[in-house]
Amino acid sequence: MATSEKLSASQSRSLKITGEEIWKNKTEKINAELFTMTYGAIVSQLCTDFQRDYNKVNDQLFSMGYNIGVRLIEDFLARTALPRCEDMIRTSEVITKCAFKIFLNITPQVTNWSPSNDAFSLILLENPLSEFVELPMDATKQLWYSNILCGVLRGALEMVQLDCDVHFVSDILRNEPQTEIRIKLNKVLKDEIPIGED
Amino acid sequence: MPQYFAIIGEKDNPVYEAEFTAQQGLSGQGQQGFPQDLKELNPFMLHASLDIIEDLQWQTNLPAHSTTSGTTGGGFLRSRNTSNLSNCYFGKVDHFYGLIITAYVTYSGMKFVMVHGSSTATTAQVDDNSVKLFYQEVHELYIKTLMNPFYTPGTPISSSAFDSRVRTLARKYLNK
Amino acid sequence: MTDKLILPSTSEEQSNVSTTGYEYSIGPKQSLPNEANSPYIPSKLYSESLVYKKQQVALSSMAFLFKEMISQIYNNSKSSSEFESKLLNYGSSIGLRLLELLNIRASVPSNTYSRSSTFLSSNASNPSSSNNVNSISNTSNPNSTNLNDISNATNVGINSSTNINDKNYESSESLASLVSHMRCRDLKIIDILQFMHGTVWTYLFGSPSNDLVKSSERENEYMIVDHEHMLTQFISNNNSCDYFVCGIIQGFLTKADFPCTVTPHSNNENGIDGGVIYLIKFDKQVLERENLRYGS
Repeated sequence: MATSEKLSASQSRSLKITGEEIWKNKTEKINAELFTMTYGAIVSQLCTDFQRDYNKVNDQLFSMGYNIGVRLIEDFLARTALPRCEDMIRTSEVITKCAFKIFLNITPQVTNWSPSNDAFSLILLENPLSEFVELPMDATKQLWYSNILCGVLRGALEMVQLDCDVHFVSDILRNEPQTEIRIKLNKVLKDEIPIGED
Repeated sequence: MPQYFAIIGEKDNPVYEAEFTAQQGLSGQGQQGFPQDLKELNPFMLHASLDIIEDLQWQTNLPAHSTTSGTTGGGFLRSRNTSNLSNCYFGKVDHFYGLIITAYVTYSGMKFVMVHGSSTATTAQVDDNSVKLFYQEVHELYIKTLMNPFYTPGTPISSSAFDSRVRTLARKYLNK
Repeated sequence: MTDKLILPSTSEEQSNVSTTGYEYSIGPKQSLPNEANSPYIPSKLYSESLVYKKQQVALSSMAFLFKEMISQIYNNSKSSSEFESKLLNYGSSIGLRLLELLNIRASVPSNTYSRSSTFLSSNASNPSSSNNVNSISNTSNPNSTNLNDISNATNVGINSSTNINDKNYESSESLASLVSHMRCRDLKIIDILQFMHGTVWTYLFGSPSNDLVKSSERENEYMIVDHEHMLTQFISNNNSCDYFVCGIIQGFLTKADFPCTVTPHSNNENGIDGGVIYLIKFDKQVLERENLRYGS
């Protein structure tokens, strides 16, 4: 796989071990199905509230995710005590092997690097948000059911000075072959913590 | 032997309906459906049985009586061989001129009801064991439907995937 | 309307096949000739198994999502009672699903359940198996039995071991095929409350609730005591957010035809957080039915 070539095998393995160790020993856990069903209730209610305007639903899910992301990053840094990532390659490894592992107990694959190494894709082989979901016919072309994830990533990355575009490319819920999230770095923000943000 | 099957919701509203017919020969020409006049009566027969089901629904001694005493204990219509610990499958609950009506109730009170026709002039026959298995598997399909956050409980199930799976089960258990 | 034009590339073949589902306004569809040969309609939803996989996520993920849901509802509510009833509805939509889901799972004999749990518990009892998902451990896993509070002892051993393996292979598709007796529908208040206190609570929060109490003053009132209150422990003292779990209880009981209202009350004594008491008030008709049917 491309990932192991990008980062040295030992670095990659050590992140994997860190993620697994924290998940196993330092994480309080809860039934994933309760999480799935709660998220399902939120999305279906939003679709009703916005009268099936799925673009608005996507935006709302993204903004909910963003709010989560900007808080979740503190929790993440406190628990992992990882140093700042020097490049997007390491960032991608930390996201998949540590962040996704610790919060959702899944490890997406990293692939489709851009030539300049500033954009990559996450392939979600499993997605606890979308178990037992079948999109309504009119939603399959518009709704990104798990769009909250993009918001979380965007918010969390911004808090570590990485201004990124995060969006879904495809989703198996839309009868597409795989679930893919694209992350592209726009710029590295000035190293100042915004004041008054809470 | 044709069947008319329906899932009936809380307010006696149909959530799903289907008619099953046996296929004879590869060409499928020998299909035996309900005669037209009966076909129109099916929903009425089925609804007439709902009161009986609602009464049986709250009986604690459903299985015990139907296994042991047969015609006593107020359960004369029910099948005798539903010897199990379950109270979801009721067996035969009613009959109408040689047609038999069976029923099954899910945990949230959805009623699965079926009118069993006969292929000849004789009275319809019901194999409780396979009918029960049919109901159980449809129950599972119903639960999958319910798990989808976009499905509103009690509304008609219009999914073609659901429909085709129910029909596959009907061929497997009812019209072998 | 261009939408109504027949699409030439797709419509031709499919018009002969039953690709549409049940249509309420049309009524029951008859079986079609050669239906058995019609193409299988793929569906992610219907090919997922209902077998409990015991997957988990971090409690903090759930807490983040829960808080975001709370603020979303809060921003769209004009009063606290509107907030509470909206939150209750979210919970209730989950409760009614759990009613069906947990009952059918509790119908599966416990020995067949261990198959799926060995896969996740990384338990070494089955090292030789090449395919963990569909293999069975013949030694019953103690962790796997907590869903089955009713005894399924009658089912044990009716199948030869080869049969069990065959059956389990199918189970990736069907849970019902593993069930010989569906769990009894709960008909009495005490039975369904015990299911709530034991099975449902264990499923949601990892252990039974701390207590299930009948009110000594009012005949229709029961209480579930929960010291942990896992979802709201991080949220400051107001009980409003506990309406979510109230909704789960209320949705579950009401759909099982035990209509009731459920309200949260704090269980604080001397300033110590004693968790939440969920007060369940059954509608009159429930007690009337119970007296009529099973009365003393």
